[in-house]
Amino acid sequence: MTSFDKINRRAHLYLGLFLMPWLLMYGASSFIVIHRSWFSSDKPREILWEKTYSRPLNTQGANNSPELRAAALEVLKDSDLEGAFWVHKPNNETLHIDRFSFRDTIRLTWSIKEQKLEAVRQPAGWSEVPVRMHFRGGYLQPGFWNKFWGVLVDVACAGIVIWVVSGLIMWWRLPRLRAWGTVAVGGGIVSFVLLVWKL
Amino acid sequence: MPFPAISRLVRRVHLFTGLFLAPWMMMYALSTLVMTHHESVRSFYSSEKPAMVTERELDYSRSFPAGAKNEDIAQEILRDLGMEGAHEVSGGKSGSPLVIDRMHALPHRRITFDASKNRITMEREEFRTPTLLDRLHRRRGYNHPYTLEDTWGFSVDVAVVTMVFWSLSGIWLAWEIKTTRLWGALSLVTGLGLFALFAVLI
Repeated sequence: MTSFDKINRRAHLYLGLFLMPWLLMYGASSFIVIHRSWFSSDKPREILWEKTYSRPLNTQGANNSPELRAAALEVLKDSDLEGAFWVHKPNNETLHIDRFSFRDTIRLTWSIKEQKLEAVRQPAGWSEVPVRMHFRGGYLQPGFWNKFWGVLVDVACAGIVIWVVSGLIMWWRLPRLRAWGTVAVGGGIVSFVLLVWKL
Repeated sequence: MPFPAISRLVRRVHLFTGLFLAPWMMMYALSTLVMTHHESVRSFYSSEKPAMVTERELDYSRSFPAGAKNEDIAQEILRDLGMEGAHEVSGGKSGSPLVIDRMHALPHRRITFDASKNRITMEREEFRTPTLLDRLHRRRGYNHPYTLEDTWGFSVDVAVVTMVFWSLSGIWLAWEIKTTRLWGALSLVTGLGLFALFAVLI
């Protein structure tokens, strides 16, 4: 069993070190989200450009539907702004495309009737950056790096599960720590269940 | 305190805080997976949202002053039902029923007060594990005037501080073991490099 213990310890250690930036990011961003009022992050918006845009595109889909996303992607391509985005229609004559990164959001407003396209940049405050990282996950956004980030979020989740399980195994292999460890495990489970039950 | 004693203390705190906070970490990991794979998880169920099941209906003849705020009415109703706690209020305009969503983690309840009929309907949300995980993940604490909410918020704060401690103490512990220094440093640098690359690229 020595080799299993060794693999278990090494997995706990190396996975922890590799995923440390994600753990710190999730910790910092959770703190910012919980104490939102302590962190003001409003920065002035900046108009990047405004141009005539009259390409005929199908804008009939619902907000963020595949049809509407396909149209928005064409607009982004024409504007050299491809990347992660959300799209919604405040009314039938306007399309809002939020092209976002960890550092800022560029809002494209396409007034379809007036054939006018405007780009406005909203920079993110420093406290907004980890929050944006926190809320980013999944595989909906286009591009290799966006999907790769989704993979790493999944790896971080699997990593946390592995830390917990490997930590429990490591503790159980130390007979002199079993009593106090049982108090810690039991105390944690009871506290958690009680909180969830009463919340 | 001599160096080996500090090292031993760091190891013990790392271990025992990890054991204590294991349920919170498992909840956050599993709920994140549920959120990022929402469509796949959703395919296991017949509907987007869990069904609301009527639990009971009761007569409620209490009257409220004409100018009473919906929030005040909701608090009174919850107090009368012995269900005080975090909630959201909607409806209640132009004689429409007042809807109180009592945000129990287990289970979520909806109380509808129809003043014109002096009647309260209580509905309970059908239990789904993914919904519970999602709700726990999004629960922030501190934003409702209830001690229990603050307790949850505090537990999340403790988890956050401990995550920072695990990270820093993890580096210390890896550095102490000579045989793991090289691969440990490589893991840390690779992780940091990849993270920095993402911060710039996306």
